[in-house]
Amino acid sequence: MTLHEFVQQCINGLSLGSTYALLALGLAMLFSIMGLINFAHGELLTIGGYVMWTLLHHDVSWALVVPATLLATTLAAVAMERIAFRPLRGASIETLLVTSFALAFFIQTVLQIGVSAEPEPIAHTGWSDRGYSVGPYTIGLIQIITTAVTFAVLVALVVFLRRTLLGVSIRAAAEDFAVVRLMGIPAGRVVVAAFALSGLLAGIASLLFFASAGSVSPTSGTAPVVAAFIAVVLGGLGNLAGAVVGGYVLGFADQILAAVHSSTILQFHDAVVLAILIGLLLLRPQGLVGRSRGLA
Amino acid sequence: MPVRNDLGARTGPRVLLEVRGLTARYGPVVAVRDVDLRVGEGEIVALLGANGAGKTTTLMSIVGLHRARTGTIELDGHEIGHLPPERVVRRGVGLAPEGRRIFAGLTVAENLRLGAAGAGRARDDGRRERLLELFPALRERLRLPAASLSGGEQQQLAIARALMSGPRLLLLDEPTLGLAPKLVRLVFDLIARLRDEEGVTILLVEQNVHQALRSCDRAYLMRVGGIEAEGTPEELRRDRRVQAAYLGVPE
Amino acid sequence: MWWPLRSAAGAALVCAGLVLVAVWGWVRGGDHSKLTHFFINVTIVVALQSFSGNSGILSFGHMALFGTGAYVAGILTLDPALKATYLTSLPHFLQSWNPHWWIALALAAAAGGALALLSGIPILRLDGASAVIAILALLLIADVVFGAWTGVTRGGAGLIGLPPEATMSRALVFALAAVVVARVFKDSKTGLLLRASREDAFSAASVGVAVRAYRVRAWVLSGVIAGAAGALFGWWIGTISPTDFFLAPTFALIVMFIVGGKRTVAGAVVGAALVTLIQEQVRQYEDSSVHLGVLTIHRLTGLTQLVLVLMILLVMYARPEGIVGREEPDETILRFVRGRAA
Repeated sequence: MTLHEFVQQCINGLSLGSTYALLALGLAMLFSIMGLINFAHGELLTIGGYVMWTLLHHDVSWALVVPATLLATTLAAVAMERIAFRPLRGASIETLLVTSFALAFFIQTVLQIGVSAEPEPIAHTGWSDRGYSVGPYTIGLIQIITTAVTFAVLVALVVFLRRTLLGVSIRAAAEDFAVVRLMGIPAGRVVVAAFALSGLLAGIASLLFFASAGSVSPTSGTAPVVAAFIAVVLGGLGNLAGAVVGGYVLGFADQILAAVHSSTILQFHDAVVLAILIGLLLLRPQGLVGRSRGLA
Repeated sequence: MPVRNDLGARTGPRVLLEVRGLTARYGPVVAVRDVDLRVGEGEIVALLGANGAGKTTTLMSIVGLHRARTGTIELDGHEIGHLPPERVVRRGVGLAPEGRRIFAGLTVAENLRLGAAGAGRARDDGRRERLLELFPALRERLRLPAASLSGGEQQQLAIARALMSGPRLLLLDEPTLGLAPKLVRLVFDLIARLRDEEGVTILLVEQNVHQALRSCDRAYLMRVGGIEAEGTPEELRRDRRVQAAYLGVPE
Repeated sequence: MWWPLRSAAGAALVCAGLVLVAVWGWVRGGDHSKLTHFFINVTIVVALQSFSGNSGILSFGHMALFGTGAYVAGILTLDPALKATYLTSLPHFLQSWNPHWWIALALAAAAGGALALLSGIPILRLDGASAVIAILALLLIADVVFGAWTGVTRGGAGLIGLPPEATMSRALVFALAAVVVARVFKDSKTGLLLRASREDAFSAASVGVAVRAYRVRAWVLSGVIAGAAGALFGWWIGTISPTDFFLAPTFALIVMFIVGGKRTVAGAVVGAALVTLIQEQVRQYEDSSVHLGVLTIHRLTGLTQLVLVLMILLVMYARPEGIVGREEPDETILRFVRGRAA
């Protein structure tokens, strides 16, 4: 691989990694607070996709599609907490895990029966295919938007987590939930806030993902969310900064390997990426950033 | 037969905390059995006993963090036993838990900020200033992560954090554990000042019996989940069982 | 009594139940396909139980082991004429070799065990949630390989025309063997120590080297049983493709495991019975349409899935320990009898 190819793949990896990072952040937040590995997180992405499909299909302008999608995924995440997880408060981690797995299948099946098992096309916007040449490199407009939006979101998230009482409570809850309650902060409020935030992040990921994916199906969310799982483990379970790092490492690894692989291996690309990441994890079982807490 | 004293008849303060018939379990294991406890307003009461006597479980039950229990817990005449911890705290109870449990990844200022979250109506912006005067070591480290504090400073932070909500009743669980003798004296000084200057009522769990008896108004002695003895420090020092078990005087 | 014998005797109750079901099938006559499916489900869920039930690490990766068994046995026993057309990358000696079913099954079991050993040594060094996710990654890797290795697996088009070697009696024998082996393993020293370690298996607390070794043993045993079950599954269903071993069947397997009760072998069997019943009974409605006033749903694809979801949620909320609970039925009976005697 030439240096030129390498840089080009890094540019591609930056935007792919951004999507993973946004999903991984939401997963890490819920894991750190309540020990939940939320399988149904991918379905938030899918729900966002279907909202986009419905609205764009009816020629609704992007100025409305964006807030509507974000609102839908946020509300869906809050509804998940209210309906599925709140009755299980205090249940074992395994119970939460199985419930989230069942919830994911429930949403997929409802979409399958209610809409269709087949992929629905999401109208390509004129701008999402546009690209720019910078020297020898091509950069897609959607890549620029994805990366810029993600960086902006990360900055906003850090400000929220550091400056607001709710944000500080979420960070504290990741360390010691019981003591957060001893501060007089209602447990429910912190959990709902974390779910809402994970839904909002999934909504942003949804917009960026489906603007270039071109279609949505009931199982669209599965592959990205499993990638995000890997990113979370890779960064150090429950560590928010680690989740971001893990997301980008995964994005870069994916794109760089895609360029290296010969066409025969290319079919096995995902398997190779996963195997390498598991290998990385063996070298550092505590994750790349480690299991240090919060977003210090 | 435990030594019983009628608190109301002798000292006369209004009863702030009254625990009756508290029994708490961990699964099938009974950790606290039929405990009666009273703390009068403005008192410093010590809860003494060896490891595993049920002292921490008693405190956890009072604040609502330990749910598997029976009996009544009244604060100022109102039942609080059914309330979740966040509501108990908002009623005016602060707990500096065993092992401090400060938020290590947060700054000292952030720890204090969370402590004030439960203040509710009793919110007081001057409180942090007054607390920082009581705990000058914390003022210099406000922007640092709490993990960087020394053991004694962490204990001060835990106490200050519990006081940020302006509690009427402060529960302290082993505040001197693992501290150097000089720091132990500092913590007990602080406890006395909190009562005298801030009017805070204090229920203190301690293994350090000598030091605790020197500072408290009354004490309860717990053994294997129950109250074994109760009284003023003088009464307890004279009690043969206390002497045998804790003060090194042969029976 | 020597402990493995005592354990095997404890499993007799469950085995007797399985045999009764088979006898009922023989007496009734007709098609035994549904009962065969049940016995295969028993075998695979018992495989899962022997790992997850003892170690406390919920495996989302057993379909990788199961699928490996199915593909190995399927490829070996496929008609050589079909092999030559479909499986162009297959080595020559495999092209021509057409082993007896039990040799193929033994090799499938060995392949399941080998994959378990190969994956378990690295993956099971991780703990708790990390291990859960790494095992899930194994499922994904297997899915990619099954789908992409077209010269050997025929990829998404699926391996068609597998010989119907999975008779009910064969499936029964393997189900019985799996139940006994899993029970003896559960009561063995390794099983006991694993179960003792499971309480904090999910916490991030570091786990001793010994526990890791026990986990790998359980995982390999589980892989062997799963490989054998996979072989039978392929022959039973006749056509296999990667989706038969991906998330939907993983979910059905987890439901069997959890609903019956994850701590007992008997629970695994009860779960398999319930899920098989639903799979076989609900599936016939999947192609029908429903009219709900103005709304018409044309195809109920995934109805089975929906029923499974409702079933597992009901168990999660009402009885997280599962139907059977914490004790094997023979243990409950023994305790009861002893209580009476005392």
